[in-house]
Amino acid sequence: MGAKKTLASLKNKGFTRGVLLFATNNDAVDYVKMALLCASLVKKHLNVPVTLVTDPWWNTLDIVTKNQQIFDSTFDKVIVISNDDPVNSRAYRDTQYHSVTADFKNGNRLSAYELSPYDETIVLDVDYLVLSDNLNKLWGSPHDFHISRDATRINHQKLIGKEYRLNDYGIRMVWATVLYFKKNKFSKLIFDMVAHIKEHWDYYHLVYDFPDGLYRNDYAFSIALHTLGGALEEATVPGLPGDTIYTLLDRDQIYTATPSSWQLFINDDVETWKFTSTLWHGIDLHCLNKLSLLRVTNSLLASLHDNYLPT
Amino acid sequence: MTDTLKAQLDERLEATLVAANYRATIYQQRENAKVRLKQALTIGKNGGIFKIDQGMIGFIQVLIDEKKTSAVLLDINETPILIDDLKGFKSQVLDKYFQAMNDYILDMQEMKKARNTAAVLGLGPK
Repeated sequence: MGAKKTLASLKNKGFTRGVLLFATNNDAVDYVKMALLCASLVKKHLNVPVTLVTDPWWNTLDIVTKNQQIFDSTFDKVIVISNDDPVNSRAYRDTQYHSVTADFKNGNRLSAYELSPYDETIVLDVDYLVLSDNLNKLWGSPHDFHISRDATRINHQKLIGKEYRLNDYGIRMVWATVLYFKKNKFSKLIFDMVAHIKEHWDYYHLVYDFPDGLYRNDYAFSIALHTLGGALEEATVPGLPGDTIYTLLDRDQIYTATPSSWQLFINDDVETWKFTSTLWHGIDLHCLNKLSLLRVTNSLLASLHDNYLPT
Repeated sequence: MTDTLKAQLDERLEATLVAANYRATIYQQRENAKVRLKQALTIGKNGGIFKIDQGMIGFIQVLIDEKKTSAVLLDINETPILIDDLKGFKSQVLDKYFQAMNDYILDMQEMKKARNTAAVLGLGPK
């Protein structure tokens, strides 16, 4: 179904459907700029409304003041919340040769249920680049909640180890990078459980024995779904239409990018100095190398918006 | 080892490495094309997500031949979905199938034409 047709048909049915993004800037990463790119690609490929959840000072950011009109046309709604989460510190790697450490706040994802203005919501990480209309297949699902259980590298190898299970003998991990939910009791139960897990993070860290104590949404949703599923290995909720999330790791690189075609460098597992190139298009991409993504974001936004002013 | 033999070995090794790079790159592009095909061969209908293949197309045709106008089909999550217009659904499925296959053969033909790594990546002459 074409993107334009999708929007028209859902308006006729009186449902509200849309995408929800979260962006909190830090010293190393301009998440708001990435959110603008993410939302622009959502508009291009899915043609559904997008809501941004961000900090109170978002409209003082350089990118916003310079491009207010683009923000107004791209985001249907901006929700401002004070993020009182404790600060996590993490390293942002940009290939094996460079990394920066910065504070980041990722704990507000669990408020997606309360904040979403839509009956059906797809929550995306802002580093998830929508390059196809694949996610449109989720609308109207008979299921209340979808989340991905698999991630695959851009060289088509499934991510394993700590990206597959919470520990060597642990439960299967889900990826909260992309999730779909309907506003109903079951979805609320999941988000409430995630909030409970976050509040008692140290306890769940001990029980599920996942690596390092940093709060991670993927782990929180994995534990919540495992608990709600009666502690069974079988999936409590179905996955996404594409089965897996294609992932550019933080040791891979974006070489060039246009909205329709990306040249990516895949870092070799064994000979770590070596990269293989791949031409990427038509498949959604989760870009963990945020610094590499930010290097091409200005040119991508300029291609997507005629009047974009780079920052 | 004489200098001539060494030079010949170096030449052969270099040619092998060039060919290996080409094959590794073409493998990546083939896998990318397969993923795009797989994506294109899914269709959302009445909230269900269906994988399109010859078996599915044949089954729908059998239902239509049996004068059925509607039927319950299992989607990729094994969720039963009522399809109330089988003929219309078949037409949508076939449109998607032909479009996906045409795109896939074009992808493959492009790759076949590209005889070096740069060309596979759209960086240089074929």
